[in-house]
Amino acid sequence: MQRRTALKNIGLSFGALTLTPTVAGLLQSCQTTEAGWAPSFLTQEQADVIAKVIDVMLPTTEGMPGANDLNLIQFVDGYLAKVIDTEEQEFAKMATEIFIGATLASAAKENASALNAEDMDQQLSAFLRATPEKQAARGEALNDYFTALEDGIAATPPMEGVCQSFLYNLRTLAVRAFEGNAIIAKEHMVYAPVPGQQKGCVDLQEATGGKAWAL
Amino acid sequence: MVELKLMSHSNFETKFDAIVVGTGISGGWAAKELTEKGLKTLVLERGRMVKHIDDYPTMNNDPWDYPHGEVITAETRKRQPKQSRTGYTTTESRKHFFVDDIKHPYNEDKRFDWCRGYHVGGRSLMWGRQSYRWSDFDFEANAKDGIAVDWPIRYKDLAPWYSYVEKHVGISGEALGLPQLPDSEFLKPMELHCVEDHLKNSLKEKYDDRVLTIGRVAHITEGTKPGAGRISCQYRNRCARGCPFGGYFSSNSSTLPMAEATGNMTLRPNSIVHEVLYDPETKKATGVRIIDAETKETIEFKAKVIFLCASAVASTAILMQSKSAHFPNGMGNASGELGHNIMDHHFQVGANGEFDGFDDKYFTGRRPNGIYIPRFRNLGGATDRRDYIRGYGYQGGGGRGSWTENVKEMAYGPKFKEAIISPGGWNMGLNGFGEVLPYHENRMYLDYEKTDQWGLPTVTFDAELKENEMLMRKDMQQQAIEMLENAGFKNVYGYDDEYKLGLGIHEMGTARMGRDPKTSVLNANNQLHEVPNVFVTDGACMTSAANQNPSLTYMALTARAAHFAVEELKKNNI
Repeated sequence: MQRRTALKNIGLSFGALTLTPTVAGLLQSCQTTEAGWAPSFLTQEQADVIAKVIDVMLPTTEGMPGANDLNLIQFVDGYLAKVIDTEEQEFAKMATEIFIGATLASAAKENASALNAEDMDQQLSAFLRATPEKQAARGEALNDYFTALEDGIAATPPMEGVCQSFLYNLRTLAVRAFEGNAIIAKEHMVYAPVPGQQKGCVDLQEATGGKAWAL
Repeated sequence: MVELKLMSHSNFETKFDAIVVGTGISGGWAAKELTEKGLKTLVLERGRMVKHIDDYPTMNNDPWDYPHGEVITAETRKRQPKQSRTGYTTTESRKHFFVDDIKHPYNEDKRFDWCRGYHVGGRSLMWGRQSYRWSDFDFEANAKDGIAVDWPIRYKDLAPWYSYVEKHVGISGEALGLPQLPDSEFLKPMELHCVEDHLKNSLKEKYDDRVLTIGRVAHITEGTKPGAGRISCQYRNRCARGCPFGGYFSSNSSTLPMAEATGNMTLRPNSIVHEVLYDPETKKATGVRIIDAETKETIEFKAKVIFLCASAVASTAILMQSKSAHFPNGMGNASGELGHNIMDHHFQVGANGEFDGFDDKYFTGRRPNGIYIPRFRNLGGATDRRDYIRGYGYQGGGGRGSWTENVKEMAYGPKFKEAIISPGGWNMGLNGFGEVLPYHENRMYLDYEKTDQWGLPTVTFDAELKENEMLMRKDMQQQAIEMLENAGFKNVYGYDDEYKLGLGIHEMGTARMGRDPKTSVLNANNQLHEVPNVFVTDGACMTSAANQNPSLTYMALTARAAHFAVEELKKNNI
């Protein structure tokens, strides 16, 4: 029973393993591009695709760097390699491949290297902006798949359910990388390592100028 | 800080006035009180040395100082699978203060989460710091309900000792004058966040049996406290890594430096006490036997009085191993209660909700504290329940989350990015902490077949929640939902997450105090009924669990017992 529950939750949890609001970060957060960096969990092709996805999620905007500027793909790859457990890793690998396949099909392209930001935007819109009913149905299909697996019944992973889960998890992970990035925390949020005082209910503008506290 | 006098491996004293086993909350207090009263005291700690500030390597780290952030990695979960069960204790910045489960195994007939650290300071370094007095509702509970045995003390016996320790520790909080939760000697309270204040006002308006207050917490909020230069909390909320400001109370920042300053303390880390030595002629303990954790050498130390403050489970295990012709079932175990009646606080049940409003409000500082709703059940009259006995309190808090999910356009892209760096909506959580009853059959015992790397038996747990706790949990969830909904919170959802004994990290009761040597291990002064110069003042001594966090009570009991021991020594009674 416990195993079934655990399996069902796979794919809904990676990237959100800890409940604390404490955010994660990057080791090489100040470097822009890492010459010679090679992914350790993802293949180079998978890393390239995911980097494009998260850059559409968190694009460069005026005065604020985006996912690619901050090299967040390195954090994502490292997290998948070192933080999540083996079962979650298996799902992540499968989901990445299914997502790439689905995106190629939707863009009518042959090679993953040909996928561009527009293709990713289409997928993100189709899944993250879908109606709540559609999202619920996709989630259910994925749960049914895990239940079948647990019961030893052969089943095919539902493409839409897997893609939805993949994109939500990836978004959680990208946000974790973004919030925990030193540049974002120190320059775009309000960073106070030693606050020194505590006030319970104060004016937002006076406290932080409308921004969120980093940390 | 004062350099602690550490014992070198050669040429050391083996005779002392007193021995204290353990350096956590209780051991630190025993060391301080006994040395200040002039006793030459040997303080033994099974783990490594941790010096205040010097040995807090992660105290200033930011999340980006770790390659994967402030998380529990797969590698950590491999080495610390049981320590990681809390989901928060073994993150990158804290994992070094929790034991390696592979090196320090224990066994579970039923799942039991035994979370601990082997180092000087023990769990006083990583504790939750919530500090609440108990009342006669707690000390009289067993007698009133006719279960287990009666506490041999009442609130009046402990009240002056609460005051005594609180003046040293520094407890921040708000005085309420509640009979079920007596006030401490308070430093100024921390402030409530906007939604917490809103809930407080709603409770005041809609209920006459419950109140919300700021958590009472062992943090300095004004002035200074003695020890290693302790000053006010800086609101960094990085407590469990060790605090360079000494803002919260720990043995390392407070009691051990004070003991050291007397010149009467010898602190010996890496010393695994596994037996209390006994002289059948004098009917007293003569000392302890240790294994040096590093050299594996066995050494005996002698003293007139021994304080076991190794934590509930460890102190009990030491007594169980102290077998002799006189004590075939372990020292002080004529009652057969040693190892039984293990308790914790059950929690991880309650409710969360969101709040529309206060959009233009925020807070400053990362408050290392939450709110508290003191027990309001089974206090007499209309508060009494038919379905369960005892009660619970709520801890929790309100804050502002990250981006909100419900705006479709914000699901990703530039607006989404902007939302991440802006405060999200307000939310509020209430998490119940309930009393676990002392059941004789809930127990720990030793497995002599499975030994550790020092050849010592390992601990096995065989304990579970029962009907009273399960019925209480239903009410804990229901009341949390109701209070939030009554206060206008939206999307309120109740939860009852999997909780197993031990997860509260409040192990108690395995060498309980009582009036009768036939049914209890310790007397009203924390002495073994059978060996008057052996005292146990950690969680093992607890006769019932109440619902309040227990550390403050361990401190008061330890100070009280230490003063008693010194008086008895003077009178040659022990």
